[in-house]
Amino acid sequence: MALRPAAPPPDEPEQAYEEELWVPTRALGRAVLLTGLLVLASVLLGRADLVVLAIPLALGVGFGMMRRPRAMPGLRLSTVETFPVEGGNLGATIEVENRDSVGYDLAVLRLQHSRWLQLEDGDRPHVTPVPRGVAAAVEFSGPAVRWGRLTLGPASAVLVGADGLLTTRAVVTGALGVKVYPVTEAFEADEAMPRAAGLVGQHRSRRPGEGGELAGVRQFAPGDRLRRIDWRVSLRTERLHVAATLSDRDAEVVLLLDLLADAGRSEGIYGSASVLDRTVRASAAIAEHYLHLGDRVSLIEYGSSARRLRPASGRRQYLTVLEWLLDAHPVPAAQERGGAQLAAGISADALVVVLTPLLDVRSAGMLAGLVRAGRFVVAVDTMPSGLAVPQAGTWTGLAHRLWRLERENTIGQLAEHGVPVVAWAGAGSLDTVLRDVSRLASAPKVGARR
Amino acid sequence: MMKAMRRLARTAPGPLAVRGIVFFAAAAGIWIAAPTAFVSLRFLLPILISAAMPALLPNSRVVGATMVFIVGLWMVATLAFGEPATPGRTFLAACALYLTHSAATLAAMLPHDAIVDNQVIIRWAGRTAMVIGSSGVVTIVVVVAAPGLTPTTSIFALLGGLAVVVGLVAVLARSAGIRRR
Repeated sequence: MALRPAAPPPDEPEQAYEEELWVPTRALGRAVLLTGLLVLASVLLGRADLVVLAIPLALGVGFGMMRRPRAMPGLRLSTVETFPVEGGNLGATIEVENRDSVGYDLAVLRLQHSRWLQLEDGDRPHVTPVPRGVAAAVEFSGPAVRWGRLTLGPASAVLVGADGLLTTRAVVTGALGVKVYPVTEAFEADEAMPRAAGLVGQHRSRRPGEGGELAGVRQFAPGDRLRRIDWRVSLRTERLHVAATLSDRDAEVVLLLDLLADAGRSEGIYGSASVLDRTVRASAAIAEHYLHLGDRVSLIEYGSSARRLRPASGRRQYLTVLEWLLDAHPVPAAQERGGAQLAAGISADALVVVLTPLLDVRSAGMLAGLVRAGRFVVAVDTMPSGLAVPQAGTWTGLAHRLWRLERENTIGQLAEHGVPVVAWAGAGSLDTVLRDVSRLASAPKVGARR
Repeated sequence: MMKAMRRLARTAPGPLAVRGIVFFAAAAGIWIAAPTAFVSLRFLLPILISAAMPALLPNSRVVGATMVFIVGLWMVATLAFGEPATPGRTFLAACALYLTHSAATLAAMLPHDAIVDNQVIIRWAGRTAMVIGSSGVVTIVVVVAAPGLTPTTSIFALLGGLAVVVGLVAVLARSAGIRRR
């Protein structure tokens, strides 16, 4: 099928372009040829009945040509969704506009789209009439089943006019990019944070300050706010007393995404999840949780592209995190930074949550390096459970078992080095390990590099 | 084979209905045009196969070939077998011929798995009915005028007729924009 854009090239005259756009169909040649043959035979043989056979064909061509279209149709592809999330419905509309003085018999509309957009009947051509001077619209709707930057389009239209005697070459629109954000799996973690650092946030600290947690009642001192005065105690003691509170602190959470390798089959939100899916969804959930608490969240990619998102807090940062995650792709890297190099760019008080499938030995080395550098590290195992291994030979099963044993051994060694590894399981995944990390953080440290 | 089955399973009702019309129109055309000696159950299978071809391949030369076949049968029936070309039978054959052509034109435009708006088929049926109705009127005029037109061997009349044919085809082709580019 010959494709051409919906608008003529700038250096091409529009009139010539329109004339070239409409071309005769095989039916026109057939009707003219058969009419000619029948009338010729009628003349040669002196048979009026052959003229009667030719009459409908000749009239069909005549009536068809009276409705001959000339103008170029307009074609537009649009979507109304602005913030679609995995599993959410997405709508798309193809509009074909008739700018001619006659109606088009039909328009055959086709829409190409990403396989993760399950638009209802989106894989079938749609045929609709386009009357004179109106724009016919065909609407598509369906769920976006996987996160990512998905493509919608291009859409193409083939128009038919003059009772099927003339048709256009395919008119094509450009493709639209649709951002589908990952769904945040339910995630809750208790308040335990290794070290709260800032002056805003919801984590309790030991420092007195403006917060919600009552620390005690003490005598009024210059600089205390009047609204802090505890009138009941002041009346009883006949001296001004104020309610002292502990300041609420925020913390920095660094999400380190191990993108050295991917495994598993991605089937969208309703099917099995790959390592990358689990990494992205878990990152979104953890980021949402801590940003909701007022903490600062930053993201670092452990892979060839080594992207980094600066730490910030608030809803704006949450949207930035989601946007950042859309570009997460596993790219094998020949050389990758070690844990010590990574630690240099991470605040000493930050909680580092490493989302890793532990498929690459460098990942374990990086985790150990981070801990050696004195960072508070929690590893989230993003390897999907029940991963099917393709049977390449008789030894595949045994090799897989050996690999799993080696991986469990690595996890054990990491635990000995002080890196708790927990499998991602949504809500409460990190509670136990976060408590352990907090306990470790409060313990006196000797020789830790800060 | 599996690919063909999958393709068949995707067939939508709209295009299927249009192809059905092509099949029935072609079958009716062959049935009407064929000499009476061939119109029997013995020849039913060849007739159905011939009619099925344009329905299966509406965007090919098979449609034109089938229409020529119908005209050929008509000429054989009237010339070789001496069957009378009554106005009613002639008009029915003309209608079947046009319906085959028109339905095949529409079927060629509709992908087999397309979701077709009902309005497309309704409007097409309306325009086809208009052409057939107009043809009926013109046919009556021709039938009324034809007895006055006696076959002649005059070379002038022959050349005049040929000129009319060439002129008609030229007008049709020109209006359709069929030009050598």
